[in-house]
Amino acid sequence: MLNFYDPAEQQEAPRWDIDFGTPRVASDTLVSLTIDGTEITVPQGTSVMRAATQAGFAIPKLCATDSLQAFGSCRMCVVEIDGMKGKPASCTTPVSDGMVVRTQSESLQRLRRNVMELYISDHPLDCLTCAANGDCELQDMAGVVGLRDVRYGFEGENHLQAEKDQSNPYFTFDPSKCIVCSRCVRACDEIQGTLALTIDGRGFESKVAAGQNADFMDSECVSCGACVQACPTATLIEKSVENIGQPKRSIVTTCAYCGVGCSFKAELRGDQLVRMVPYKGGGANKGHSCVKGRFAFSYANHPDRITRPLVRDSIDEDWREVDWDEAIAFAATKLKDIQARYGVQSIGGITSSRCSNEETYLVQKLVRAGFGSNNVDTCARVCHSPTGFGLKTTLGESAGTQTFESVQKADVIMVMGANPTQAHPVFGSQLKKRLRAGAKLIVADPRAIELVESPHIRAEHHLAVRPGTNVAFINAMAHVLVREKLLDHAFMEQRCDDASVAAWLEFIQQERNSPEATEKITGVPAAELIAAAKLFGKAANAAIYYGLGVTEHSQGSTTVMGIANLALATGNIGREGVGVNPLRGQNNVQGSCDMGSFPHEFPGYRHVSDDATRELFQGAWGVELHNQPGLRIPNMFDAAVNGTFKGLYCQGEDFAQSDPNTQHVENALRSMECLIVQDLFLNETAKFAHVFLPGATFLEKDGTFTNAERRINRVRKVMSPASGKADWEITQALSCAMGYPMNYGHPSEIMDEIAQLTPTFTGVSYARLDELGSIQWPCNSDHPRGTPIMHEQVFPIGRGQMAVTEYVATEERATRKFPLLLTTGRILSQYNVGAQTRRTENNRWHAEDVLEVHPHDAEERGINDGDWVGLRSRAGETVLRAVITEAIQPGVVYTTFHHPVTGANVITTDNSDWATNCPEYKVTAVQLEKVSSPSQWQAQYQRFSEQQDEHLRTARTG
Amino acid sequence: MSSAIPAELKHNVKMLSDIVRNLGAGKSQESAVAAVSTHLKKFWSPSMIESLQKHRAEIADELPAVALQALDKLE
Ligand code: SF4
Ligand code: SF4
Ligand code: SF4
Ligand code: FES
Repeated sequence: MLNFYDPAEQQEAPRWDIDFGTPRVASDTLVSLTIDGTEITVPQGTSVMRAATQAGFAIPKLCATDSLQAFGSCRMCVVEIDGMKGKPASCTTPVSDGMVVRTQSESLQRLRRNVMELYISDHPLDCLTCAANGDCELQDMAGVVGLRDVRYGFEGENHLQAEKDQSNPYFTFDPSKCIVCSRCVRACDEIQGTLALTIDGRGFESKVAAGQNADFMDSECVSCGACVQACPTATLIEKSVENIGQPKRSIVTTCAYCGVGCSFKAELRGDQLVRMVPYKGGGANKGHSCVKGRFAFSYANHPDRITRPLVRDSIDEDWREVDWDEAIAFAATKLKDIQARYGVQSIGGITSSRCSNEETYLVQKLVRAGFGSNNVDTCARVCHSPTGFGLKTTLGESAGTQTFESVQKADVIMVMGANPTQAHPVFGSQLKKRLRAGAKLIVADPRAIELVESPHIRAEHHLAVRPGTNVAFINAMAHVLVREKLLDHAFMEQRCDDASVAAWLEFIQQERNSPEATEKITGVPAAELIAAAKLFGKAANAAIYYGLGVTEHSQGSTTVMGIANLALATGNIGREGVGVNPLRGQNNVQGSCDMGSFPHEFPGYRHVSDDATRELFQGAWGVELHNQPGLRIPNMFDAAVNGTFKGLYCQGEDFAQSDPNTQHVENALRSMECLIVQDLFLNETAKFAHVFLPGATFLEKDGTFTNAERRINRVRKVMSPASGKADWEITQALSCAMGYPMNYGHPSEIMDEIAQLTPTFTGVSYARLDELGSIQWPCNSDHPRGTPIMHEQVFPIGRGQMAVTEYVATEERATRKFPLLLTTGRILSQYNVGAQTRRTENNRWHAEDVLEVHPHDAEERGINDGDWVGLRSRAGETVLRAVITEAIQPGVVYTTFHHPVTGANVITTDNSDWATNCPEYKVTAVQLEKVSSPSQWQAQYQRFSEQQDEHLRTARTG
Repeated sequence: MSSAIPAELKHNVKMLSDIVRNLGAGKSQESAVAAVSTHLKKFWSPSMIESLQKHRAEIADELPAVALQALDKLE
């Protein structure tokens, strides 16, 4: 008997642990019927099966499950309905007013038993040794229908010898156990949207097939696990369950990978994590997952994991393993000594969007109150800082406006500079579902991303915007809306600042913003852009989703404002189906920004110069606080190279791999006298460190993450920290040693302090999160249950501010020396710098970063598919393997940055967004040539890495 | 960018130029100076502003008038 902790069970409804057989139906019309003598009222369109389950009369079923539309193939769920002939399937029969249903009778029982008998006659009777024993719906149903023997015997033709497919690293497919219920096929179609599975053949010959009868690994399967989740038998089952056995308890927690913020049940046997099962009650994912959150958790136990603190005086020395007290004292003494010699401003801290809200809050508190400066920043600097600036300026809040669910009400969706199916996979699946239901899609991206054309989906317009020209593009879109009289003047009059509207209208109508004028800049044909703009402008509900392809530019902030302009000008703000939706890269980008991790802002986006806010924090923290901004990440590196910045506390971030212009970052790190890295592994940054504080995985601590919809999700401790301390405890210890005492007993107390000091969080507490499951901020007395859709009535700044968004060309341009433009991105199976996913079987899908090159550019340079190519920019040179593809336009090359040896950031320059310093990762002028050996940087990197690994090995082996 | 600029200032000079190119576009000189100086005060650490002010003479040729006036305004 599984005994699960489930916060949803604390309330009357909904009950996520019950499978109602068919999906919930939303209808204002209610229907009353009688089931087994009990009267029940349900929304019109509800199935008899669902109504019966709600009434407490669960009907046997095999092909039905409430995450999928009813299919009606197994006939296990038959019922008797007065006035209806025969015995209809309850999963496909909708309720009607006055209906009288019987779910149980002798003839029903007989019929169900006969059906079950047929299934079992072609099923191995190995229940006792089957991995699904105790968690098998077939087994359960055999019991429910009272099957005692099988009259047909097992000698006839059957599938019992069918070969097992073990190709996927995470799950197996054993066709001998398949009952061909097609739940897996429908899960792949309806939930995931990959359509990798089919039922091949007919009648007895029918079987589940991946791709064109391929192994799972060789098919289109993206290993999301939806089919495994849907399978009622052991046919599709996790290898971890086969190896470890059935889990016995579970804890609901949140995925620590991307900004979708999927909820999972971490299922354990003893203290061993058996599997991560997507949680139906998850507000963001509603029971779906991707390969990372679902399967890629083995890094938590990887041998590379460091669990004891390390110190050394110089990066040329071996590490010394020490206890926590010594490590913390060593770090604090060094930092205090640096401040004594170089001044208070000579040290700072950097947190990561991978850390929880409570952790990032504590780091900024330590820096502001304990270090006495505002030199604190977060890695959101290098991804979505332009979102913060752009949305705060125009809409008054640094956050996306919608829920993910809102996309189901959108009629036209524009995806700009984002690749949701790779980088935000669960949202990508939700988006695909809406597109299959008929919404129209505009993709603005230099690459033909998967959404441009995939099964049952084709973008109306793919606008292949040249890297670096987004502002010209977005202005042209707005220009057409004005020209075609597609503006929502009533909305602008009612909701926007008049002067800003007038200035914007005057600007945007100028000829230089017309699609005809921008065509030569953006490469987007005027006619195509006009058609796309008209489609957008005429939609009842138009929504914009964007990602790092918007923000990581020299004009990232301007483009974000241009996107907000578009939404304001067309009235697409303040209701479901519309809005401005930044797709945040990492799990807690939103949260780390909310928590005051930027050097100019306290938690809740309040400037450090605001006297009232500063006094509030001074009162609570008991120290004097600075009223001027501190250094941002790139400024810290510059100051380090210049010799004025000497000490850094870095929690959970690997900027030596992730930040641009690697050589400059490395010089900065080498210039520091004390670099403290708190992480799981000796990552690229830690190789330059003097103190290593072993961090905890998301499974080992309590806290909260805030996803891209502003949804605050609980992270619950599943197991004890391998190093003995959770990350908040480490920061607290360092703070105490620095002379600024902190005395929290649990992260919930940190959240209580955040709530007390942050107006948008006043209603948030762990108790409330347990009660509601999750909360979308703002949550306060005005919005006690949170705010799913923002700006419904009014903007936090009163009226929306339309911004004049002048296009200013980046200085990074293709030249004769560097004639191609490099743009970078992500891939589904790897996450960010890959420190976690590279230490899992996910590497099977992406073992190295490659360079995508258009056939035309490849041919000009004599480059063939698979060749090693040298990639050179004015910043540096690296070597990687070429993949020739038409997914990329001529003149543009593309790579990912998941593997350190690739050195993608050796190439990127220190150009950055004018407003926020977010690096211009998406545009680097480069040249390519065929080569046969690694670059100088790569050779040097190999040597340095080996040396540092040796320094670690020595410490570990004593 | 001129090699006369001290190496440690090059990045800040470039960033300031970028701010002027973006915030100053389409504005009168006066409002451009106001916008740039407000931006610097709001987002730049005092040490970065001071370092440019201190080396005003060396960087003057590399920066537009709006940038220099914004720095002067913050003195
Ligand atoms: S794992 Fe996901 S993508 Fe692969 S077959 Fe199953 S449902 Fe389809
Ligand atoms: S693999 Fe599982 S879900 Fe798919 S048809 Fe077979 S039994 Fe049903
Ligand atoms: S990586 Fe993102 S989409 Fe995948 S399970 Fe985690 S939160 Fe969900
Ligand atoms: S559950 Fe209704 S027909 Fe299978």
